[in-house]
Amino acid sequence: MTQLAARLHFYVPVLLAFALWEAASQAGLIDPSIFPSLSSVLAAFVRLLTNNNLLKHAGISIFRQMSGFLLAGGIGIVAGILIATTAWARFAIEPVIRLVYPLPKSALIPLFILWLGIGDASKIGAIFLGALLPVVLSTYNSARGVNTALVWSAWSLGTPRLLIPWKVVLPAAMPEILSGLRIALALSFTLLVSAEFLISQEGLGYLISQLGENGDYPGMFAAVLAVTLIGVAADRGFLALRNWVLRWTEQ
Amino acid sequence: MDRAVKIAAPQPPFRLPPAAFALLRTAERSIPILVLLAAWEFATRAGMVQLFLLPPLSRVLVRFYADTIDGTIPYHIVQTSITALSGFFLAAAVGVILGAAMAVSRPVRYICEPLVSLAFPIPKISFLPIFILWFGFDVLPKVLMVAFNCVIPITSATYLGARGIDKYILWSARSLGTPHHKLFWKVVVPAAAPQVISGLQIALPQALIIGIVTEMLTGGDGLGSYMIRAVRFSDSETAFAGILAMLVTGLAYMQIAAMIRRHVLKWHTEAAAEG
Amino acid sequence: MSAARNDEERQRGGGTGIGMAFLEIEGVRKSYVIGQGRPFVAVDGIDLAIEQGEFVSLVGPSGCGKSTLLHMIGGFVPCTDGAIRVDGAAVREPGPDRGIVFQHFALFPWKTVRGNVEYGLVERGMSRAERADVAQRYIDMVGLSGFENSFPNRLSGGMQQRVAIARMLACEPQILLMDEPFGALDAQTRKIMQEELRALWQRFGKTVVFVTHDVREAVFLSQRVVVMSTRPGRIKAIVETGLGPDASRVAIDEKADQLWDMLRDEVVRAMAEERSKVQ
Repeated sequence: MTQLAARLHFYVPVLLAFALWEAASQAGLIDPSIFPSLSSVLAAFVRLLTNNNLLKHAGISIFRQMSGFLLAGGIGIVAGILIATTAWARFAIEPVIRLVYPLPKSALIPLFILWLGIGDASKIGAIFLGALLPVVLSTYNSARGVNTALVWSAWSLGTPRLLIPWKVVLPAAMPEILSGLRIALALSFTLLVSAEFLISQEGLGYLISQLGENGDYPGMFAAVLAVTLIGVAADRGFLALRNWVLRWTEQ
Repeated sequence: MDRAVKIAAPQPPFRLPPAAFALLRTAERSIPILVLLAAWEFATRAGMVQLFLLPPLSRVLVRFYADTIDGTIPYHIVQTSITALSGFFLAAAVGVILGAAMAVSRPVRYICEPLVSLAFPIPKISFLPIFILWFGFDVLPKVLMVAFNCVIPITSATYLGARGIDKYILWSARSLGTPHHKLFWKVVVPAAAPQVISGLQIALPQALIIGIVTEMLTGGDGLGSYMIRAVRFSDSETAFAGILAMLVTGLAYMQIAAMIRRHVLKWHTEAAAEG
Repeated sequence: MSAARNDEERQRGGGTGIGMAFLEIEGVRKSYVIGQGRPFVAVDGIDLAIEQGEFVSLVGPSGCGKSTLLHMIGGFVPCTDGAIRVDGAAVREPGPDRGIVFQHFALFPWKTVRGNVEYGLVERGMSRAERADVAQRYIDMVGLSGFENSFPNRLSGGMQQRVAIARMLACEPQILLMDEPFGALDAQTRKIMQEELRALWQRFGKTVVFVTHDVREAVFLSQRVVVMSTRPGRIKAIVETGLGPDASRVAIDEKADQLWDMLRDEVVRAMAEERSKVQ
């Protein structure tokens, strides 16, 4: 099977599921008042797109998610490398991480609402802090697992000690760091939607609950579909980025 | 699913120390935490932080203690646990069977692999309003949401575990005379167990996270509602007590899961190293 | 290291009394603190003088500390006791004057072959044109012409080790430290690499300290073989191979058998200790 054919075959089950959905609706097997047909959902999707609601809310949500995620990624990787390579950083911070690790990340959402109100800041804050820990941990673990021989080789070839974490440990740990980032990406969307469900005046989470409250169920389903698509697109985009960064691992 | 990813067992943060030496090490490791806690107390008492944003640690502990003694917090922990664990075990049952089926049957794999792979990055919590629409506001949508969330990583881990079994182990068993029908329980299950259990260990905290979120959103009982009510009344002491309760619950779950893992996987090198 | 300090150390001289050897290992001891605070002695009381241009092998059972000793010469691990001096100057830190290759190649997987070989030259601040020149020379020397732009994970074990050797040689070190460099290769590749290494050594006359399990490999390559005992690691014997570059296979095998007899007791003892530990 060619690569393109394999890629297309990947989406067949999804299309099958959609086809099944529509068929069941048409056949009257599901109650349209609480489970709208695929066609009505798609129609609502177009409707939301054209009167601009969807794009506006999606933009706000994505902005919040990206801010929180990128902050968590950047700071998390730096912190993870530092903790793995510097003794005093490890001594000071590792116990704190281990203490906070079992805390369910969703606990932070109401706290941030308390502190930062109902606007963007509370969502970005909750996403940042929630995604930070997985990034720090995966970076830390992969950095610790870097082959000592690599570090020693660079050291013996003249790399100054202070630069070794960034010139050697970071690239060597990249594959696992990127896996941790991928998980943090999915988590950031979950935290975003949860926070927007809870208290928000804009964003896709807000849109979904609004439409639900107004009884516009096809619209609500359409908005959920939009969130789903964004999540999948972000993941696929991240995978493409990861494959580009990790060109050197190609077999 | 991309190429097989080895799912490593998550490590619990604290290990129960048997020897005095280990106790000393734990004491040493606690220093940064104690420093932080002391700073917290000092900063709030000295008025450096607005009280309603960050109440003094001592008051939080008092509130935590009071609500634990009078049974409030334990009650909510139990409620959350019922939701989370029901969903978790439902997901475990479905996920393990589905994952095993995927490993064994090509048509099942063809249908399910893309669906599971695509379902990973979807924020499944966004389906909560749909679940509420279908199942009302009671416990059922919460349990189903937890299950929906957890079934994906469990299925994936089971599939990878079953698929990734070293075929030479199977061949050795067969050459040593193991009949075909016994292969499954005698060889496949133990060989796949570490990865399956890792998947379960990853899914368990997720069950707790999602359970708490659904409670925050649908009301009723549980740690999530406990905390949201506190925030709605700007009662930050109770809110922090809620966080402490969640931390304790999360920690308990992890320790129990790690203990079960160590017991079930006595023979596994990783588990032996942890134990 | 200032010139004045160098002279001072040179005047103080070594403890061997024979005069200053190029690489001096004096009373070196390495102990670790493990578990419940008990010390674990990896190597104890190592005295060794290596002349410039010598090829010396360290052989011994697993756990005899031969790699630890090599790492101390490299400056990666500090000595608990004793001193190591190169050309009179004490070893404190790793540096390009003591190049090292490891059993599992330790190539930077995110860099191409050329990127790896040029690495030390970049650290030195060499210009791009000069770097490319020098790197190409060494890449050709180890027989990897044409693979300059390949990533390590596409190369076989033998090829990867050649890259590691080229990377080390490009910095023109005074001492080559080799930590079981052919241990991860299949027997056929190993033979070829041994022959090529010997040819390289004969061409450049560098000082080499070579750690291996394989007694025959040690005899084939070196002028002197240091046999180490285990737990703690000590020098059991130093044997001159006395074999020239045209030594016959029979002569090599005879010498290897002689050394193996010396080594055998240590290996058996080490295995017995492992057994008692598990029980």
